[in-house]
Amino acid sequence: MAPSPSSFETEFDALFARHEAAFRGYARSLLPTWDAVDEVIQAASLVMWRKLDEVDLPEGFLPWGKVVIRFEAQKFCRTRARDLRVFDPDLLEILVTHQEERDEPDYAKEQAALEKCLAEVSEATRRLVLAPYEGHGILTRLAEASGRTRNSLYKQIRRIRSRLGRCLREKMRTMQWES
Amino acid sequence: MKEAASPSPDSGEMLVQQFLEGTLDDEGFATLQQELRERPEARDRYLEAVKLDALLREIASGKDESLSKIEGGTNCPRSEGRRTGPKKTRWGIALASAAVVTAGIMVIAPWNPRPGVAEVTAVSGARWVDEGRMQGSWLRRGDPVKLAKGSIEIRYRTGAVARLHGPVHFDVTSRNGGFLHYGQAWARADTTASEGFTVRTSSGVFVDRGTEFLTTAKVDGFSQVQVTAGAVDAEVEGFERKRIEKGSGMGIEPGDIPVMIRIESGDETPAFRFPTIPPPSAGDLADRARGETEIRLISSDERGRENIPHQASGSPAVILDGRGQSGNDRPEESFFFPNGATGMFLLDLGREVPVAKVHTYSWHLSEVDVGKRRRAVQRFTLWGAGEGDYSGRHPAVDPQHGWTRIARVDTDAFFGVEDEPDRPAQQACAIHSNGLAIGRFRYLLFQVIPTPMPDGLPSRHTFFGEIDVFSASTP
Repeated sequence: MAPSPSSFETEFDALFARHEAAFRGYARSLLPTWDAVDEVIQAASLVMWRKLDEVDLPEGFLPWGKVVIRFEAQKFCRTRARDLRVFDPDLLEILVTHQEERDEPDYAKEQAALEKCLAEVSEATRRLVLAPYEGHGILTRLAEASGRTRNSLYKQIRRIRSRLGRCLREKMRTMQWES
Repeated sequence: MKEAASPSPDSGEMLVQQFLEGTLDDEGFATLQQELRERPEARDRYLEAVKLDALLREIASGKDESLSKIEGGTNCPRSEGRRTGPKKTRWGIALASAAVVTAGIMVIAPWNPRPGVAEVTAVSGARWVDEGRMQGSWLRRGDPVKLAKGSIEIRYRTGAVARLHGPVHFDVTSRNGGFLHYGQAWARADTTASEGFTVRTSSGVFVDRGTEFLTTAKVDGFSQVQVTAGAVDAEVEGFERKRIEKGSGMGIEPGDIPVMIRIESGDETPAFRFPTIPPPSAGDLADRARGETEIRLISSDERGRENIPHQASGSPAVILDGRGQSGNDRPEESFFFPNGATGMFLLDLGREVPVAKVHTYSWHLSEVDVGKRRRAVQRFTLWGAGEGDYSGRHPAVDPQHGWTRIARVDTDAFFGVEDEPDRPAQQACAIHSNGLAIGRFRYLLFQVIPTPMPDGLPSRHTFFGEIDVFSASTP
């Protein structure tokens, strides 16, 4: 039987699982595709694993993890600039600095707030806005089934996302005010 | 030098959306970069949009990663975004690499393949259909659990716990959920990270809202959920999302028109008050006062046995009188069959109507065997037939018999009854579609199944107090 995970592994797993969504969101802001995010997160997690003893846990894990991701994203953009449309190095720096200056709320709270916003829209709207994340060709099939073009579906999804974005900001403001 | 005009907020937002969709061309990308460099508000807008994209993706992914399987595809395109390729082995690869990279500076431990999303924390009497799962092993996204018998407990990293009882086939499809092909899955999700734990079946999606719940799925697509603590949001194709609170349950019969079955326990008074199901009605289509509906007993069951009421039962008409029983042990105000036999009765509505809802009510708390609620259980299959479809034949799934199976009800299963005290004494069942007609029927046939009893006692039948039928035009 394989050995059970050590407490070190368990602690790392727990921390990484807790912040994985925030890490992925951060990486996405610096990278052009979700495939790129997968690649960078994989490399960054390796670095985090090796250097975990360099950080004060658990509070320091999230900001430190973002720094690791930032370096890995820069490395990715340097090496893939020829075959992939990536942000220029100076813009990456600007985006990183800009994010550091922003007061980012807790990711889990934002997710909970967005869930509430989604609960306020119709089932059809919810399904449509989540459809692009649910597999290859879903939008094409939806378009065919509804007799519309992909473009018109994209337009509708953009409008829904705009609404959800406003709702999310409003919910977060309310939560901040209540707290 | 001529100064370039600033893009309007709308066009800026469009560029961001196209970037996220993967549909932005080179020119647009250059414009986006320029805007992000020069305008802090554009950067804010961009970061907000990225965050929303990431959150939506996380919600879609956490909710159900099995959809691509159902849809028949396993890989996703770059432009349509889900996590792709090696997600199942992502950690395995990373850690294998870690072992190699760090070989020079640390001892290579016999690495456990990187833990997945859920650990097997208990296994009991398991007979496996294919790959066995040992206690302490880890399940990754996509890993199936197939048990012929016995049970297994798995604990997700999020803190959610699922107990699977064989025969069962359950796939771990996300970091906080799974797909139940058939069998039973009990789940508890009481940590912050596990909120939204999701069990999907072929006919519904059940999303935790801080709770314990039991999901049952059959291979023919029927599924049901029973909530023992907190609440669950049920998402069913063609229905608005529905919240199911503690003590209630819901079943889904798949079909062209999916049918929802809601079960609730009442206040155990003659008022028959339930959380959401209304009390017995005298205003329904089948009410005796309207004189349109006739109740008939089918003369014999499938095995040719005589189909008669229990000698202590009230007249069949008591279930159409617009009220339930006046007390908790009133056989004369109830309609029920003799112990042991399957019973069948037919409601002839007099004409074919679009049936929208059927409500059934039962009440029993024995005054002889104090504390026993054996006749409160409702176990029946409801069948429907149109004007020209009824051939007098016994109901069967075979359409040649002329019957449509509308719903299968087992309230003990809904309430998770293992022992007498678990069973509510007063129960209501609502069978309906999403505000639409379940179908056009003249005949409704109730095939009533007795409830098995412990200690070799003969199985007992439900004390039905009232049955209400509503068409699309009745309130």
